[in-house]
Order: sequence, then C-alpha cells, then structure tokens
Amino acid sequence: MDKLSIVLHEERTVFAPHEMVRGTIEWSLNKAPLSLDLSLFWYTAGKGTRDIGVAETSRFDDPGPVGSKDFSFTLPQGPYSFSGKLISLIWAIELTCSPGSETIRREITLSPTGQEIVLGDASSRNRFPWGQDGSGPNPLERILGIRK
Amino acid sequence: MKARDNPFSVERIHAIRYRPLHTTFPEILARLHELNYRAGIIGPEGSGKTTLLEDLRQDLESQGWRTKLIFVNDNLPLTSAQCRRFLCELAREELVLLDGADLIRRHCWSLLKRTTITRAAGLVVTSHRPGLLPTLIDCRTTPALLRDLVQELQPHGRPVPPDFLDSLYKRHAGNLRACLRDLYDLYTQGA
Amino acid sequence: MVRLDLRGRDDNRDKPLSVGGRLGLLLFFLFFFAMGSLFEVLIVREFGRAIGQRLWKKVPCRIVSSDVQERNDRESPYVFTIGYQYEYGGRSYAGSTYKHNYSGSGKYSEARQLAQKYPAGANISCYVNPQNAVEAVLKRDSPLIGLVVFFPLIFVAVGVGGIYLLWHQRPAAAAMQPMATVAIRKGGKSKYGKYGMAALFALFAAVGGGLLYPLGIKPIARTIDARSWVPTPCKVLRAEVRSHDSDDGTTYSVYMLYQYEFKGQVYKCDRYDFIGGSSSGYQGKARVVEMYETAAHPTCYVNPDHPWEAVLKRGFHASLLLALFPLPFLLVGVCGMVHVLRGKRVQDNQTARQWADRSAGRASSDLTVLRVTDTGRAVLTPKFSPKMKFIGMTLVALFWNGIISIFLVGSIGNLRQGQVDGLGTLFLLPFVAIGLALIGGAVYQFLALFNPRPTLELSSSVIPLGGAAELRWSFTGQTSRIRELTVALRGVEEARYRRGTSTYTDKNVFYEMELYKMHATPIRLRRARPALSCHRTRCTPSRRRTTRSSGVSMFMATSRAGRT
Repeated sequence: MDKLSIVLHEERTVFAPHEMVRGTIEWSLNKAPLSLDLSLFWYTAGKGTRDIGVAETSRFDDPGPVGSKDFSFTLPQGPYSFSGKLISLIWAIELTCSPGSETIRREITLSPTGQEIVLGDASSRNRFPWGQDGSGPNPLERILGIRK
Repeated sequence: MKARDNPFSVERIHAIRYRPLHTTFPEILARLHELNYRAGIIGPEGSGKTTLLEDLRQDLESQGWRTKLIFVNDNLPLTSAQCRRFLCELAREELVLLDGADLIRRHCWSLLKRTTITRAAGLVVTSHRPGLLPTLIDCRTTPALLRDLVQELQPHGRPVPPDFLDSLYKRHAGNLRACLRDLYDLYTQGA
Repeated sequence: MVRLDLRGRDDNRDKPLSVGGRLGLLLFFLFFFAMGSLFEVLIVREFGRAIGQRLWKKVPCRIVSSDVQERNDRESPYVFTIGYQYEYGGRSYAGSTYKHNYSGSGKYSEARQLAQKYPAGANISCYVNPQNAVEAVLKRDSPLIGLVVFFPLIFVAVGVGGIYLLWHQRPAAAAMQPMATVAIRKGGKSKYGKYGMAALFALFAAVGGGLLYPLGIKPIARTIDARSWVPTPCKVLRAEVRSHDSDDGTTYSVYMLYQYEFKGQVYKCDRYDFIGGSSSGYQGKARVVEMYETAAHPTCYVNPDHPWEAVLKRGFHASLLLALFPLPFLLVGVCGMVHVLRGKRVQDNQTARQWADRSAGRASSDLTVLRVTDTGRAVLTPKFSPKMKFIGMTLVALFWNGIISIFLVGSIGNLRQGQVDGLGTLFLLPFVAIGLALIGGAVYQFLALFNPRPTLELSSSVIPLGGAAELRWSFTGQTSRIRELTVALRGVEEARYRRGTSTYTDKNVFYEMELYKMHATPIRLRRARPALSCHRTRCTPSRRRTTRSSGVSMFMATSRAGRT
C-alpha cells in the first residue's frame, strides 16, 4: 500500500513570519516514482473561487520506492493565516509523487500572534429574509444557533 | 462561523458530483460516444453544466483520454490570438472541453468548431442555448435536487427547513448556484 | 455642507416598471415600429420599381428636340424638355420622358446641364418597357436605394424588440439582504457591446466622411480654382430669396439667374456661390438680392475652360465655414471607434488570463500579496479628475444638443406658425429630455469643480500586524466649504467567485473605525493636515479594538489574496 507522510519537527504547526519550518517526509510506495514534489503554499477556502500561492517547492528526483528525507522551508512575511466570513487563508505543506496521484498535506499556521487571525464583523444587525410570526424564537434561528 | 467551516463553502459544493435527472452517467457517456464526442451540454445558469463537464473530464481521463479544458466567462474571455495558439498546440488525440461556448466570439467559435473536426478527438461544450452542437444533455434542476444537495452539505442537527428551500429555489428560478450561495450567507449568521 | 463619500455604492436591487412607465415606453416603441415600417414600405416600393426598370430593353433612339423651359412653379421653374424617337417590335414610337418622376429643377444650371448632355440630333439609347412599349425613359432609376432598404428595419427592430421586452419583463426578485455580505454581481458583459458602440461611431464617421466631400472639399477646391476665372460683366435676369419648407423649419437661399457673354457666345447661369444650400436668416439674403438687383454693372466670374460655368461670389467668405460642419461628426466617429476598439484590446490584455487547464495546486507564486519590498508610500486620490468629468460631460451635451436643437428650432418655428406636427414633436421629446439631462449633468460637474478634493497618503502600503503607519491627508479646492470631515479606516473582505457566465464578488466589512472626525462651524483647512499615527501595540484578542487600525490594514492586504 502506498504511503506518504509529513512529520513536522516537534509536531509544531504554528509559526511566525520568517521562521523556519523543519520536518521529515517519508514515503513507502509500491513503485518507485520519478520524483517527489514538496511544496509550501497557501490556499483560500470559503465563498470565493479557490486561490493558491506557492511560496516554495522542492523536488526530489529518483527517490526510490521507500525513503525519508529532511526538509526545511523559510516562511515568508505573509500572508498570515486568517479566517473571515468569506475567506479562510490556509497554509500547508504538500507532498506529491509523480507519476501518480498520491498526495498528502499538512496544514500549518503562519501568524505572528501564535494562532490563526480571526476577522471580526462590523455589522451588528441580525436579520432574516423570511418571516417571523413573533410568537417565539424563530425555529430557524434556533436551528442555526443564532444568538440575539 | 469561519469561512473554512461553512458547510456551503465553495470547496464543499464543488466536491459534489453531478446528479443526472432521468438518466445515468453511463447513459450520458454512451450518448457522447454515439455523438462521436462532439456534443453540447445545455442548460440555464446554475443547472450544473460546469459540474457535469468536470465529471465527464474525470471519467474520460480515467478511460485514458487526454483532455484540454477551456474556461470562458465575462472576466476570462477567449481572444482570437489565444484561440489560434490553443489550436496550434492541440494534439489530435486530445478531447477539447469548452466551458462557456456561447460566450466566445463567433469567428473563434467557427474556427474552433471547424478545426477540432480534424485536429482533435472531439469537442464537448457547455452553453446556455442549444444549437452549437448536438445536445448531449439538457441540464435541469428541481426543488428535490436542491433538498438533496443541502441535506448532503448541511451539518447534522441543523437542517434547513424544506419549505424554505422550496421558496429559495423559486426565488432564484432554479439556479442552484445562487441558492447555495444564499445558504452560505445564511450560515455565516450562525457564528 | 460638502459630504465626501469615496465608498463605492453597491445597489443591486431590481425595480419593476410602473404602469405609466410601461405605457410610455409602449407608445415610444410603437412609434418606432410604425415609422420604421412606413419608411420600409416606401423604400421597398421604390427599390422594386428601380429593379423593374432594370428589366427594360435598351434600344437606340434619336433625340429630336432638347431644351430648357421656364414655367410658373416656385419650386422647380426650370424643366428639361426632350423629345426622342425609337423603334421597338417593328413599330416606331415617340418618347418625351427623361426619367421617372422627373419634375424639373429649381436651378437653371441643372436643367441646362441635362440639355447639354442630351443635345438635339444626338443618337443615344433609351430604355423601353417590354410590357408597354409606349413607356420609355432615357435614364433609369438607380437601384442604389436598395442600400438603405435595411435602414428602416433598425427602427422596426427597436420597436418590436422593445415591445417584446416590455411584455416579457421578468418580475424583479424580492430583495434579499444577507446580513454579513453584499453581493455584487458583475453581469455577463455583452460581447456585442463594444462592437455595437464601434458600429455607432462608424456611422458617425460615415456621415461625416460622406458630407465632407460635397460640403467641404468640393466647395473649397472650386473656390481655389475660381481664383483664375475671368471677371465678366453680366446681366441679372432674376434675383430672389427662395424659401424652403421642411420638417426642420423654413430656410432661405439666394437665387440669381444671370446672363453673360464670353468669347462671342451668350450663356446663362444661376450659380451664386460654391456652397449653395439654404439656411435660416432671411434679412441677410434679402440684402444680397437687393444689392444685385440695383447694381449697375454686376460682375460674374467665368471658367475660361468651361464658359458655361460661372459664379457671382468667389473667394473665401463666412459661408464657407459650413465646410467645417462634417468635421465634428468625422472626428467623433473616428476617435470614438479607436477608443472603443483600442480600449477593448487593452482591457483584453489586462484581463486575459490563462485559459489553460486549471488543475489545483500549481498556480503561480505571483498571487502572493505581501512582498518584502512592497513597503512604499501609498497615495490615494479620486479615480477621475473633476476637470475631465466636466469636459467630457460638456462635450457630450454640446454635441447632443447641437444636433437636437436643429430639429427643436424647426418644431418650435412650426408651432409658432400654427403648424402642429404631433408625431414629430412626440418623437423629439425623448431626445430633448436626454439633452436637458446632459445639460444638467454638465452644470453639476461644473459645480463639482469647486468642491474640495482629498488626497490621502499612507506611509506604507503594507502594515504588518502590530506595526504602525502614518496617514496624512490634504485638500485642494474650496476647502472652506467643508462642514464635516470624517476619516475612517475600513477593513473589507472580498471574495470573487468565477463559475458559469458571470463573476460574483462578495464583500464583507469586518472592521470599521473612525480615525478622525471634525465638524461644526466652517473651517479653513490648509494644504497639509497634521498626521494621525496609528497606535503601535501588539494585537491580542482582548485589546484587538485598540490595535485594529494597524492590524486591519494587513488584513486588508491578505484578504485581497482571495481576489484574482
């Protein structure tokens, strides 16, 4: 069975800008791939079409069917990992072998605060597009767990 | 609620495969074969044309086909120069998949249609209107389809009432994309 | 009080048409349809006749008589009369028709030209109706009228299309107000929009170009040529101010028929100047006529190469300025076409992206927003200069109202004389309304010239979390008009979704803070205001509010990573 793994040094997943991410990749494949690609990148998730920015890529040619290798990346200044209502920006390290579709990804956080930055909401209104009979808590509000 | 946790985020929606009504995927593929891999997927906005095209692409590639996808919309036009360059780089065994055929210019379409007869393995397009190529399938949506999709996406214990979904479907005239985007906004309120 | 709001206005609500609006539009489109259909019928009929004449047989004929006769007709007093003989089907016939619908000419020179072209005794060809050999003409109708046979169809199409859209207008969707976001839909831009505009400008250019030769180049060329013409005494046979009634109103022209002798031969001519045409203003022309009537020895200038050509008034004069009339049309048409088509290419270059396979995971790294070197100062100014807006609006208003005023003056003149042209006036109303709106717009832009205009300068376009930046602002214009000034910092999340025909852009304001507010009595602001610095503190959840001014700017930068 094909197996890929990314092990981060000290299992650390939160980093500040310009810090170094260290770890080890391990692979155990039925067939030796032509190359292994290790990428440091960010991507967006949420309401918009996914965007991706690749910060750094390392390629290992003729790695053999089984092996392990240490890696290190220096993180850039940004963008920071954040989540808002429309967009989440997520940093990750991904290992892919080619040919083939085997992939593994480990998410990390890039932030000077030690955690993902969460954007607030300037709006203080709380409205619903469907009617409320005023007889009690709207069932949908209760369902969605909206607090007044 | 964070964007990444929203059950109706784009990634979750795009992970859902096309659900044909009154037919099956093997039947669609069989019809595509009958049409000699020159066909059009038609339907109104938000009816799943792009989703079906992407699913077809995956299936065809798993069958060994080589495909080339072109995506066209208002912000991503296909200029004449791009069209010519694309056709120059096209290989005979490649199948061209064009998303948004009715948005490209007439002469680009004529060139593409004509050239792919001899210089490509086929041409499958999406369009809002029939007539560009023989129709492979006319994508339509139903309120039941919306309910099924939402049931798959919504978190457990927090279902959206079916009557609300039906009114949402009616308001957007069957445009499932618009319905799901509204549901995304709805769930952002539940932070 | 001057209120500056540089925020974009996003209003995506659909409003249905009122009953009155629908009725008005229905009448408007019905009128277009009716006029278009009427003109189409007329043109098709003429075209059909012209085509029919193309089937007539060409036979040799002999001109028996050819002369110019004068009759008692104000509009066309000079008639080219001709008599010719021809044979068809073994029988002899006599014809006298020059051309179908020929009714003479208001100018002696035109009729004389025909007489010279078809002199008595000449053997030429005529065209005989094979169905009725008695019917024959020397000159057939031109089928070129077929070129405009489709033109009235535009009006028909506008009428039909408008009525159809009126009937099939979908009811507006109920406005839904998502709480956290305002969806801005960038509707699918019509791929025909740019070409349609280019076609409209091409029409302007064609009109300008078409008029340039007869109104501009030809008269000027002849004026220059006439400098070598021979001054010759002449006798004025007829001098009058002629009036020409049309839908545009009544115009006047000078008409003079004079006789002169050149190299022993007597000629008649009626050319006053090289411009010709008619215009408003009766008095000036009446003075010209009186001058020539009372002149003892009037002089004309004769073309020595073609002595039948002469002119009374030569040299450059004010009337020749009419030669410039087609130029604005030509310039607007050409410049408009270039701008529209070139703008399209530039936009294509700017928005053209890789259409190739968009498999995830291999996008280019230029999507990274924060770059170490990108820390220069950022200057924010309004997108469009008020001067350009004013100039642009004024030019459009002048151009539009310049054309409409021609028809409007005519309509008012008719109304004054008691001639009510209901349909024509009704047709003119929407155009007049647009013209008034354009004038209003120009006045508005003129007033806006005096508004104060802000310029904001941020010490760094990239502000890392916990970092600081300095914001300076200055005003130009009439700063004394400022009653209230608010400088606010806003953080906006923007997500763009591309799927299907349209691109959707959603925005969410996640932070808003008033940085500076000042109001009350009128103030005088100097060019540079004291800078406002954001606080430099660490961004922790509990103190997020106080540090958000600097942290948010970074958020703004990273949010845009979600936008392509």
